[in-house]
Amino acid sequence: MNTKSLLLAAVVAAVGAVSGSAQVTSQNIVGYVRLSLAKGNNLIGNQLNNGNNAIGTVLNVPDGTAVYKFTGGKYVANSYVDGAWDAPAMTLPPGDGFFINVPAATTITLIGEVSLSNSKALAAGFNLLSVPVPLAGGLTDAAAGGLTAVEGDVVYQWTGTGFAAKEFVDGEWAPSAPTVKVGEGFFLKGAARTYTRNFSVN
Amino acid sequence: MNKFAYLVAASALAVSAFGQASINLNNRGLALVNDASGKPLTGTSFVAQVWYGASASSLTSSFAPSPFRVATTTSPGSWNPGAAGGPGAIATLAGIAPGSTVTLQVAVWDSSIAGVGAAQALAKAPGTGLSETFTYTTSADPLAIPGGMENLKSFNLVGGGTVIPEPTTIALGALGAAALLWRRRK
Repeated sequence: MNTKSLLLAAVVAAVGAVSGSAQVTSQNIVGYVRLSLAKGNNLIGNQLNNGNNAIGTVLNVPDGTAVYKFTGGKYVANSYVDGAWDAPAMTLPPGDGFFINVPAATTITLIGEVSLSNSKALAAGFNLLSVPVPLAGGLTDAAAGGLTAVEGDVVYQWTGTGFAAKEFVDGEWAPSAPTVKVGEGFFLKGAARTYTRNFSVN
Repeated sequence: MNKFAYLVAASALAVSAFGQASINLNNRGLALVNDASGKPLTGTSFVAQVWYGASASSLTSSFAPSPFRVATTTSPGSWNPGAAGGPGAIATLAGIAPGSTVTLQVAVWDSSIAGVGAAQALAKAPGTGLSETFTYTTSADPLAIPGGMENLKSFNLVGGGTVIPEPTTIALGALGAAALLWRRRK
């Protein structure tokens, strides 16, 4: 999976509402992520909240596409055939990673709002994740992935044909610290905990 | 293999050793099921049921039947395990350990015909279909997306009649004939 064009447009809209003498300001960061997908399997994640995040509203894909989520230690598949998803109730919220298998190379565009507050419960063992906000960089860097590494963590990143693994041992990543691209999904194997990645605009 | 690689491989295998193997029941994009004339099968009344076991002589387990797709489908000849009431696209092979090989067979019949089911398909009754047995070696890697139908060979429904009358239909026919005879004698 190549990230051809990342967050191309981000509109920060400050909406002010006056209530008594106090002014309450909320920030909405909307934009899109464009991902180039190779024929076959790609490991990606949706990093923008579009409301219900139902698969049919998140993905605009060609017929014959299949999506694989990883839940409870095993995969769940969903196919897009004859213009509809077999399981339309499946959701792809920010922070979930998933495999997408496309019949031919294509480009997809994910549209939505950057979720400012993100908290995801991680099960012990394997979790298929993405950084819940569209940021690239070190997975455990506070300014990028924001994941707190725990001794024994293993991150598996898709190479296009298999996985490359990086393990957190004795307080260090081996063979190197994992970095993620915008829209990239990854497996994290580790202890049960909560992955929190909040986002603010200063 | 260095120490780190051993660690990764060992941890992956340790997880898979506790589970049961998974299989992807989709045949879309792989071998197809055709009607008796060789045309890829469509119609949601037709269903495919995957049977499995450790060997060809022990195909005693099966998944819930999956309906075929609508007549206008772009994927004729394929069934849809993800449809409501189906087994789900990815299912667990009960009693099959990850990394082992399972033998499979697919039975197809028209569920709209009362009295016709897996038994008739397994007996290769007219109007039903039965694949050759084939094998799938499950993955011991818990992160691998399961396959399953890659070794399935396309097959046709059995010709020579498409409808096997249900017992009540036969009984009704016999009743009618008896009534006709009785009327004639009168």
